[in-house]
Amino acid sequence: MKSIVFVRALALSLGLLWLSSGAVHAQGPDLNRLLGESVDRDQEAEDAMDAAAARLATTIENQINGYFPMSQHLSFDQANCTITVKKNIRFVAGGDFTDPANRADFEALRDRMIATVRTYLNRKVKLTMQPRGTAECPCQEVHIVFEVAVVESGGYAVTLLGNEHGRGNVSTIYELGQETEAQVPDVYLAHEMAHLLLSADDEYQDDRYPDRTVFTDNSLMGDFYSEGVAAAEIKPRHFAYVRDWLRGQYPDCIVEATPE
Amino acid sequence: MKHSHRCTILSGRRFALSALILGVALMGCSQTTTPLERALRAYARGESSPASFAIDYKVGNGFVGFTELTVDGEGKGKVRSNVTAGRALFEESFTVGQARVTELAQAMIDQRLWTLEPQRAEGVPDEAQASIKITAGPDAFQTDFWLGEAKQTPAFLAIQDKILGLAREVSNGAILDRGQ
Repeated sequence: MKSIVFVRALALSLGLLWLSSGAVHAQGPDLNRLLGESVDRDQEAEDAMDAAAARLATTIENQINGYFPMSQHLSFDQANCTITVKKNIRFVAGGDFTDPANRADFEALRDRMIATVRTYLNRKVKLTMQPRGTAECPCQEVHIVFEVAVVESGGYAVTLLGNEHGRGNVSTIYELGQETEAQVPDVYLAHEMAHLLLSADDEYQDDRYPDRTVFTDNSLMGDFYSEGVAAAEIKPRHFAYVRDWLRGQYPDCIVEATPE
Repeated sequence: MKHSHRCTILSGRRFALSALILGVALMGCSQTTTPLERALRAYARGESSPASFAIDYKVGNGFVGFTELTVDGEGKGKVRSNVTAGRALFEESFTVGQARVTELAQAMIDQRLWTLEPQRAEGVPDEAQASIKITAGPDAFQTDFWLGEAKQTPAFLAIQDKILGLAREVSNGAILDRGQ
């Protein structure tokens, strides 16, 4: 009985403490005004930190194939000379995956799709930074890695259709791949990931898009089915917007994308 | 000449005349068939020249796999596809009886092809399209659906199934495409 009373008293005390801390926090602006000059200096420091953070991270709105909106979040870790490209993706179960009994298969396909990022995109292309004249650049080489954040709401929706064949697209993946396949191949999943994470344009021939620039250099965004799946790779040109962002941040540095 | 199958109502300057024209136009709209419907029915009834009638179908592209089938009203056609084992290109000319083409035209009539209108102007990246084009004399009528929309349009799928059924038949099963 005593222990119950003690626990209740402790909970009440903690609750009051929490409430009082909230009250102090609510009075923060008034206190800041009382503190005068020192607060101004703190504010300046905070602004400088915000500016630095903005310089190091941003969300970029892109267009795939010149019309389809896709955004990514970039952050530049100067200490480790690494840019992380992050995308929130909401994987939606479709087809047979809507049956809870097939949840493990759904997750397996989702995880396989995410794993292609490591195989096909991570550290495949780097950015080099060279100073113009006497300028200083934070890094000589900047590595690029990717992070897929699986979210339950928001983010970009990708529907995974269980036990179905079909022609997929950036929003729809068929577990069994095309009619001629037994399962959707990793290279195709990586192709869609390059759309999602790099906003890379398609580079295969399609009569519907006569103005498209077609590449036949074993591009991951090209027709690897006819050129050879094993040779398909991401190219430095697919990192153009990451390069351009860094160029914008460091105009005194010459930034180029090259294979790792 | 490519046609759209919608009624256009023009109004005159004077109200009475406008009302009269409007009334006549509305009567016309409610009673007449569209040019595409007329073309299909005329062919199906044997009232138009089979030689001037043709069906062209295409789905996909080289990357996601494609199938093309062309057949005229007399039953002479050509099929091409890489939706085959090993993605090998299959290409062949064929001849079927006119009744087989009439069967396709009838499916289009049954499913009221002239009423099917896609909603999206653009597809998502990598989304393929399926197209049905009907040529009747100097006129041509084309219906294009992104596959995501086609999947939600049973009438289009029913027509597509008939056409791809012919593709599978004339290729002796080499073409595996189901239009998805």
